[in-house]
Amino acid sequence: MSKSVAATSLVLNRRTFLAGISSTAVLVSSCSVSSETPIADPIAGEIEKIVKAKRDLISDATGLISSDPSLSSPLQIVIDQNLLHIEGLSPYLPAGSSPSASAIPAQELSLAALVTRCAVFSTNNLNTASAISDAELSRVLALIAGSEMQHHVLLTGFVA
Amino acid sequence: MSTPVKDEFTALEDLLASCYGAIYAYGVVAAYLSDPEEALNAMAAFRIHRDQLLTSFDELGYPAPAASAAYSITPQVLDDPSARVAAALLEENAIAHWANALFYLPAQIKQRECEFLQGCAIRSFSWSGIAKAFSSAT
Repeated sequence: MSKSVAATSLVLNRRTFLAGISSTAVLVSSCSVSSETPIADPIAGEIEKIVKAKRDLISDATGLISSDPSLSSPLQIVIDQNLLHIEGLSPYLPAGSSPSASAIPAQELSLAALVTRCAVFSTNNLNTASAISDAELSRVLALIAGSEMQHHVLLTGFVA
Repeated sequence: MSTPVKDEFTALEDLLASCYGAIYAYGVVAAYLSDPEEALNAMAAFRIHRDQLLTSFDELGYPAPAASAAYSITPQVLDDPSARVAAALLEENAIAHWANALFYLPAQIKQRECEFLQGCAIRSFSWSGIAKAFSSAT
């Protein structure tokens, strides 16, 4: 009886040992895979999207100034401040990243559409600021969102 | 209005103190404006928000700080133009405080506080006509 218990115990120990070895092998192989596969930083990816959207907006605002120079004064303020926003976000971009404006305008090129986009940017950036796990980036995004809301009001005054 | 924000409680405390200060300041601003309606509406917005924050203090089981008897207003309000400048600056100050606090706030009130920050941004612009890339606290 006692031999049988000892044998069972030995079998279990061997099984445990073998299971341990195999799971260690899995862990080691997982580590090796993860160290070779670059994992995208979700925060940096989010900031990249915000910067790209801002570059699109700057490009559209520049286009609007060309088609209607009377709008240059308010639009230049929006352009300049969006460039400052991009500068403020640049430390959070992935290394070597410089998101550029889309080659083809994706949005309708009108002042009214730009006015709406400023408000949408503000709300989206506040949502990101609320969800993000970095206190300083959250603060920067919330300040940018305040500025974007002011752009919305500024440009609204020029919509015919 | 200078509580260092480092957690949920200090974030709420800072916002409540900002509301108290803004309500007081708008009382002075309204007194100097030839047409005080806009200032009184803004004061009402801060009063409503103060009450919402007090409810949040209750719900979260935190002791709510009381308002001070008086607050300093920068710049000094002497007439209609300086009252408008003071109003713009207090709203800009509020944007900076709300932006600073947002990260630490409980999830259930973040949306409400985001909307309030946007309201401050609109009011700041309507007082000064100036949009800023980054608002700062004074």
